[in-house]
Amino acid sequence: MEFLAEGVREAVRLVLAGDATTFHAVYVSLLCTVTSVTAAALIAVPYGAWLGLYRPRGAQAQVFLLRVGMSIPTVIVGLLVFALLSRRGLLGSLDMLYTKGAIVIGTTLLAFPLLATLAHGAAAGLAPEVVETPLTLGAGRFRSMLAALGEVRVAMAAAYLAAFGRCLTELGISVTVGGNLVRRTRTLPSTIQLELSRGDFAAALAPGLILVLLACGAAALTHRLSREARS
Amino acid sequence: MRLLPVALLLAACSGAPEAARVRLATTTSTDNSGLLRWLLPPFEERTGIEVQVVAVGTGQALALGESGDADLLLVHAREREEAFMAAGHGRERRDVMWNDYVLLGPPGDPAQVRGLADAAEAFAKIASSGSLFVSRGDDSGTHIAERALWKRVGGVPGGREWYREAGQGMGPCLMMADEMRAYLLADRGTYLSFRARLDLDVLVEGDLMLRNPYGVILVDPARHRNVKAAPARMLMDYLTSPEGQRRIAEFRVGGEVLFHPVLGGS
Amino acid sequence: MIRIRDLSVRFGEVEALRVAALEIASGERVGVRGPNGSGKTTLLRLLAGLLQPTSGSVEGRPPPGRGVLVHQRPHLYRGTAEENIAQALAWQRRPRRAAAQWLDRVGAGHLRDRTASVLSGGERRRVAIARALAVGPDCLYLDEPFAALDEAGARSLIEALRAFPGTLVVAAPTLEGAPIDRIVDLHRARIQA
Repeated sequence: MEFLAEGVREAVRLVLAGDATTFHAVYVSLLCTVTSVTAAALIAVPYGAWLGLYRPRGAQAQVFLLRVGMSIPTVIVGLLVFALLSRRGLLGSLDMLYTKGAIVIGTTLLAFPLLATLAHGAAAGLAPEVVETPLTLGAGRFRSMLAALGEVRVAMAAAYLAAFGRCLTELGISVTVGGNLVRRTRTLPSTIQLELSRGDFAAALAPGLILVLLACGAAALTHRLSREARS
Repeated sequence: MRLLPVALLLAACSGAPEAARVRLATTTSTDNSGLLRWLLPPFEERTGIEVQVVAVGTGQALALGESGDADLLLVHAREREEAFMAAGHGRERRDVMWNDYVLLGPPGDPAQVRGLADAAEAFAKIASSGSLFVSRGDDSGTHIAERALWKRVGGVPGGREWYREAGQGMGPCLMMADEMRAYLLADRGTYLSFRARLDLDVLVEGDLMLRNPYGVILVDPARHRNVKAAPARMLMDYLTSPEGQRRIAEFRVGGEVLFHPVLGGS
Repeated sequence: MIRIRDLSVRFGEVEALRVAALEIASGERVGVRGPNGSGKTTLLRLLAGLLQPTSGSVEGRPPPGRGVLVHQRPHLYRGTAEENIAQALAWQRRPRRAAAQWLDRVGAGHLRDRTASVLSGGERRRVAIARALAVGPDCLYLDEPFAALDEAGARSLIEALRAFPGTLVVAAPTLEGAPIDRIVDLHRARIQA
């Protein structure tokens, strides 16, 4: 227990001292996560909602594939993106391996099935009147879908935060395709892993504390939003 | 090692009920080389002692020794080993073998270091030409050796645009250097096992600064009650015995010698 | 002219509607009468283009936006009654200012600043009908519009519907007092020729 307490004390000291490398890791983590989850949401949410509201042919199969996609381990996604971006890969000429862009590509692929599945679930649970009303009033299929999504915007915000949390804390993709390069592609989770392998428990705990704080913040936000919706 | 059967008899007489076990903490590069899979089975068969190999980073291996979570350490970071002993965490330390590092680089060799006898000079040329260089960046034995070379030519180029600190193991760094067509200091063993997949050449080797000595350390049982000191000592004795040392010298990867014993070698 | 021939709508194994033949001329005011579960809603959704037949043909339906359905339990979005109507006008690129007057015409002008959560069932329906009228459709399909309305409410609604110049289809269990010219009966989801 003393070991843990000492680690926490040292970690707090490191955080308060404002270690530049640690805070750069915060920047990389947040930048990549926000970019990829937002990019994924812009396509995945309308796509999932469309499947749930209009049930086009083949919708069942697509929902199944999305659910499979949700359960693919992050290391496999990392492997796929690595194979794509490697010099010998299809997109090797882009020279994107070991950059933040590579991390964004990987985590976008990670967030997409999660967001689409959640959007589908929320949309499919709506009463038919919700999407039929704008449709019958001449809004067109796309605008009607947006209007229906507006009715579940709290659920969509929660979905965004869920994807955010998943991408912020993942390790397999950012290290494999990002390379864990200091002040370039080193994220909070990969900093923790590195410090652990160095045997420096306190230095691993500092970014760990920040991660926990960010996760708490995201959870609190979700909680706030769902309480607002209920009132 | 005539003492070995005697020790075994004594252990049997003392009525050791369950199978004895030694937890050996070593580095990932040592484990990846395959040496232990060659070296340990004869010992395990003869003594019936199970050796649990925990392969982690150098720092973590030493930390396991400090906390008593490992019984024996096999690492290659002389300064840190001596600090470990000075702090009283180890009962005994012995030299056991050495392997070497090689400076790898792209076949095109933009810094023109191929064939140089002096590794530090090669590093200086890499720095002055601003060629891409991948560093382990993780305080591993390899990283420490790399830093020692930089210190001889003006200091570690931290923060320079061409100096990429990866913070990963040897394998991933090899792949990174391959992808980025960069220079990299690597241990010969891991390099040999990756060689077929890489487009990198050995540009500098043989310099004494590139020698990487290994130490085996017995964790002090007085500090932690659950350290298995007796079987750990038996393993340490085996590693430094003529038989063990011969076995180390016989280990080959792709037909090449990897580890050089301290006994009877130079 | 809307023309239906030999039409069937099935959901899985259940036949929700069968129409041997039905014609609705432009400008006609038709009542569809039948007990609960007789397929009235299915017919209206079919006419509004929200549903397609499993077999048979239907021609001449105005597209969504030109033919508007008001559900039995209409959905109102967040915001006031007036905002709901303004939103519908915006969808059809009409001026939003016109919203309030449509509420007046169905006798619901006093509801303009109320949000959906505080409206009764009958009030919601009146707002929804005002919303449908506001976009100026060619055809109006109403699913049980008079249920849960009091006398005064029913009267202003009837007046507004009488003033509606397009085709009107009203579905209800009884059609007393409804502003219609003829009645079509639905027996167990069937309309005979």
